[in-house]
Amino acid sequence: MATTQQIGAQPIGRAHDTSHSVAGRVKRSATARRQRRTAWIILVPVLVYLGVFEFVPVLLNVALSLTNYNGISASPSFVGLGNYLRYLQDPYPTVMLNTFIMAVGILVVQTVVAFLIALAIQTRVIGAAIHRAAWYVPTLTSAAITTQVALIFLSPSDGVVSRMLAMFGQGPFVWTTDPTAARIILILYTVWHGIGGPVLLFIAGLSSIDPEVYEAARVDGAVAIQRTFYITIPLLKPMLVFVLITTTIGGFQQFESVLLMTKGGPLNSTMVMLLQIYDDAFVNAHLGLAAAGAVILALLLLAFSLTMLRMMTKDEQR
Amino acid sequence: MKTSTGHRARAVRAGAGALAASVLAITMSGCGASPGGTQASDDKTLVVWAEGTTADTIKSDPDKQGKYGQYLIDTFEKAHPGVTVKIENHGWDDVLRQNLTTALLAGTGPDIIVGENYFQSYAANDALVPLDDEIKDIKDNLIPGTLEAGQYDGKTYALPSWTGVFGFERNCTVIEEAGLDCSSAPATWDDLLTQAKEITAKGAGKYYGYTDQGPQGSNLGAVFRAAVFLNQAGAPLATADGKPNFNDPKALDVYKFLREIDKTTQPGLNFDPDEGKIYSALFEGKSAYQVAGSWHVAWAAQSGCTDCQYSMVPLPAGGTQSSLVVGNVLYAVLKTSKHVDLAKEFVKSLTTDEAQELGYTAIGRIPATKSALEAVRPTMSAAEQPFADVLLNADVHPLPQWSTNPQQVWQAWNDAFLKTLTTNDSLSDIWDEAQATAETALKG
Repeated sequence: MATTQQIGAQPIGRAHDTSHSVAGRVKRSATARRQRRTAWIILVPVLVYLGVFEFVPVLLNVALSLTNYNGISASPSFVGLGNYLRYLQDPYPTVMLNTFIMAVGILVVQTVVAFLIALAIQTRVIGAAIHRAAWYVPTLTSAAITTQVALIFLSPSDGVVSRMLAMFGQGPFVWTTDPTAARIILILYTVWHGIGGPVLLFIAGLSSIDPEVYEAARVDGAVAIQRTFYITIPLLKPMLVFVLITTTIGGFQQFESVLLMTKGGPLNSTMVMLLQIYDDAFVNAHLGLAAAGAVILALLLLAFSLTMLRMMTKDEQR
Repeated sequence: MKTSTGHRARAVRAGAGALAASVLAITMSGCGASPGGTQASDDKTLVVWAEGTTADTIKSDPDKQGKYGQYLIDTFEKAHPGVTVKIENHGWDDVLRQNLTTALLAGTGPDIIVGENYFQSYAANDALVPLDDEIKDIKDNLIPGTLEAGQYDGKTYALPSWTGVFGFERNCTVIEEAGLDCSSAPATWDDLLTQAKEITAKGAGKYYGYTDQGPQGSNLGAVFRAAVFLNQAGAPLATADGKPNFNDPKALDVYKFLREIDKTTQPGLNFDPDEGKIYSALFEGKSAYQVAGSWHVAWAAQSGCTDCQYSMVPLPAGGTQSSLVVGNVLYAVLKTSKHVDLAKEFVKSLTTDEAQELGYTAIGRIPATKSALEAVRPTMSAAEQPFADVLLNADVHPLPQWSTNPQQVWQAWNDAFLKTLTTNDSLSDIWDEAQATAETALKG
């Protein structure tokens, strides 16, 4: 009975609902259309921007990388993967190795130093606010200026370092002829110039860690180094991942400092991919090859970033 | 469900349509651009990309340096009623090349381009208009070395507005403090080397005998100066057919000489990244001799060197008086110009005696035509005259232009020169390797 009633009630109810739902659906449909239209009106400018300034250039760059276009003659020819294969010949493997060495050097030194600075500022340094600002000043300053400041210190003929060495009866510090020294100088310069960002990010990450966790650890007898490795670093992991990825991208995209300080020398030891891409495009008049270099660099960056992301989030995935 | 899908599809189509329309509109607006900027097809505006001083001083220094650029505009517009000349500065060297490439890609290239060392590759790519028919009557009057950088495959594609050349500079205060006679410059490389060693020894760290510039990356500063000595020794950097000539046996003697004289340069100065600092050391009394561009005369005076004197570069045994043109500003007509004939006339107008002489009196640049240089020489200072004499009497050439991968070819030279100056390795081994690397780079 109940079933009948239920069954009997159902058509009435359904009929009732249907009359309501038709009107409701029409209303909802009109609202949905309006919302979709509004959404598109809002989205189209952004999509146009993204399309014109992001996707189209990337696609054009990929297309360009398959040609021998030199930027001068009117008709480029299709060369297939020829430009990509050039990256297997001299000097490109050296250029990629240089880029890798410098990027890894910057990544390791900058991340470690930035973390230690942030830790010091956050815990016990006097004048923490001044320190925070001071570390960020080089980052805010144009590379054109900071490289000149660095060169004043490092000028082989009369820089501060060479003069100090002279006081001790030593010869000048001619780093411009020594490939290892030149790479180290560029890594240290880049760390100094770019460390402000990671320091601030680490400070922000450290600030978000609940002090009670440290209190509990202290009560349990954890010493400072244990608290750093077992509390600070694990809880800082999201920020660490972000810093590592952005520093890797920055390290692979070194350009201004190399252009302004070493121009790829000595002996091609500091010639990095971006500078080579620039030279290929505007000095060697080989835009196709330069475009291929840009694609390779983008793929390398993507691969490194994804690998790093996977490695850092492996535990969470489990 | 069908209705919803239909709505979504319509909405997506509408969005995509809007996106495509926007992209099309932007693309179409880009297509509207024409060579020579935004000129309409019937608009006779001649867009000239000039070097910075010519372009910038028209407004910033109209009473002195700006007279030159204004003269070019006024004279041409007067001779061609209805034509407007627009002189613009788009940088120099790498920046200029970058801007030019971008403009050509966008279809907004000028009518006339300026530069020093890239015309041969543009000519090889059929981007320039030959000027041979226009210059038949003036070709003999142009100093051959100044024209060479604008020539390709027997044709002339660019004409010089003015030029510069390398000579030899000495600081007599330093030389006399070291107890040597400064009334004349050393005549030979041997004399120079002997004196440079003696001055360095007597200076005991206070001053040095010679300033040599070492290489940096693919920079051309060191190449330019070394090329002067190489030309003198009959071992130019390139063969007549444009191939690298880095391991010429005669060149090895030059590198041996440079390896020796480099030891008389202040330690570290030769490898300073700041080229200005390297050459201003002589003005500051820290060095006695150096190869100097013609612009050093004004630079030394501004730097307070009252006793800097100039001459031709000392010669090697059996060598010939030769040098290198530098700061040789050339203009060429792009094939994409809508006013090719007008543009050719404008470029030719740069070589008239009036324009060439005004380039010297207003801006201080050395004329590139024989008649104008001979006319202004008597008015030049004693310091400037040796540079005019080099241009009029010596065998001068520009730095070679490599048809493919110039950055890599120069990098090979610079790497070899660095090894020459910083090691005791066999010179023939060093330069054979450089030759092989350069030849590979040139193959592309």
